[in-house]
Amino acid sequence: MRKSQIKIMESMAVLFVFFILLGFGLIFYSKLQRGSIQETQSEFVTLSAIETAQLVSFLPELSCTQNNVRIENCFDKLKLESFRNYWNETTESLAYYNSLFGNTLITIEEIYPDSNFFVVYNNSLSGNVTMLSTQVPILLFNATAPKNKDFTFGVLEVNVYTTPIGFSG
Amino acid sequence: MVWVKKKGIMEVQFSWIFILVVGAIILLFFASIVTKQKQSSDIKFSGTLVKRMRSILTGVEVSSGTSHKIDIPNARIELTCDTYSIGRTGGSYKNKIVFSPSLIRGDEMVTWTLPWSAPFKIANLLLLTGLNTKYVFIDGIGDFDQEFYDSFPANITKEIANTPFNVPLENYDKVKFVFVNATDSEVLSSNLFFLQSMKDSDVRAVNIKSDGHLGFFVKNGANFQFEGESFYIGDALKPAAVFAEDLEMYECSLSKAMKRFNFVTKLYMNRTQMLANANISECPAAYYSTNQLEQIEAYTRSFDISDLESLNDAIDSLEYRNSLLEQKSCPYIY
Repeated sequence: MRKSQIKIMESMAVLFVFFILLGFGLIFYSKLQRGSIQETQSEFVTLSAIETAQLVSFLPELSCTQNNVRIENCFDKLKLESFRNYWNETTESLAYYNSLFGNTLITIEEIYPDSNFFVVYNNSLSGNVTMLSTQVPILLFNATAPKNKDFTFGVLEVNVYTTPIGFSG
Repeated sequence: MVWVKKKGIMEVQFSWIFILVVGAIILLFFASIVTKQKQSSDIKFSGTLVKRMRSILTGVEVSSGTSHKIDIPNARIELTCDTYSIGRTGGSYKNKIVFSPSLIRGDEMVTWTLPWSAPFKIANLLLLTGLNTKYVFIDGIGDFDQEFYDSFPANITKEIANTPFNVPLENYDKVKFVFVNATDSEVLSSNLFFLQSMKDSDVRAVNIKSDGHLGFFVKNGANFQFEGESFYIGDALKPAAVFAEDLEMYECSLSKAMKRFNFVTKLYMNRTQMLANANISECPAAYYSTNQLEQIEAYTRSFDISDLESLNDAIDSLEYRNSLLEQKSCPYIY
């Protein structure tokens, strides 16, 4: 073989190895990026869950008020009953609250002194989903109960559902 | 011929050509990676800001009656009634009721959360603005409400001027004039001498009347041109009209607000019916009649500006009924 041919083949071999190494580097980088995207998605789900819990806690449709003065961390039982029945009563209200809460399950468990369980809103997902749960201790107010028994303790639970990235099912 | 016999010269030339070609390919390859990385980095930065903006909006939405100054490092945020975008990334407000200019630019954004009640709490209104928008309150035409002016956050760009003529051209993206109880002809005849070189759509005015009507105006050359009329219910919508970019954005957010008003009213109707059914002793039959709530529900279902006075009457009447219940120590309607 001529010397020049050998030199060209040498150069080609060097370039070949260089691009192989570059390829390995790019594969490693893309795997890192994928991990970062999944972390971002997880952060997003957590943020979404907290936002929804915050939204629910301050919703005028559920909060206790006394002559329009809001009571912190308090839910009105009569409003809860009304809301449970009417949020999906019409197409318009269904669309409105679906866009507000998304794929969420909102429940309230009355724990002391009475024991009750309310499903306030249900638009949960099933199957291979990620669910994040947020629980908040609350007061429950019953306007029709006697004055010394109108407040009880409960727990608000907000479960937010998302589909993981890469899952098309 | 000489060159045919010089094999060394051929080899050297070919070698250089080969180096140049391959070198160029490698440089192009890395240049494309760098460009793509920069684009990706810009998108990531915008995405981070959008994510931050979403958290900020949710956080301030629940902080009723507060104003915050948020750092947005040299960002350019474009806003509409339903969406906001930063660079190539954007987000949706979902059902938040937001009033803002169409562009917030600079290092800081101001948020102001106002509770909207009529008479019961309906929602928190989110008012957003940047330091690139100047708000000028006119005290020489119509009335001037010092309390209204003082209620605006101190950290926005606001000032008082005798007439729009006195307002100099400065380096602001937008200027919004606020008139209170002026006549339309007084606003239309205002001279915008120093602001003529600003783009017409960047200079606007709102005339807030005490009967609940709002007039929106936009610059046309050196004067204002009437854009349209709207309304407000409750005090919180007056500053909202000032912050809104124009009539279109105000009405878009107002329609979201009225929809919400309707939903909350229906809920209170159901609740009042439950109170009536509970037959609470020593409490008046106030719960049995839900006239005012029914009227409010009907008006807010499909509102016409001619119903404004009737709606306000129903709201006042409901407020009075609710206050009577307090005297009897009975559960409130709201």
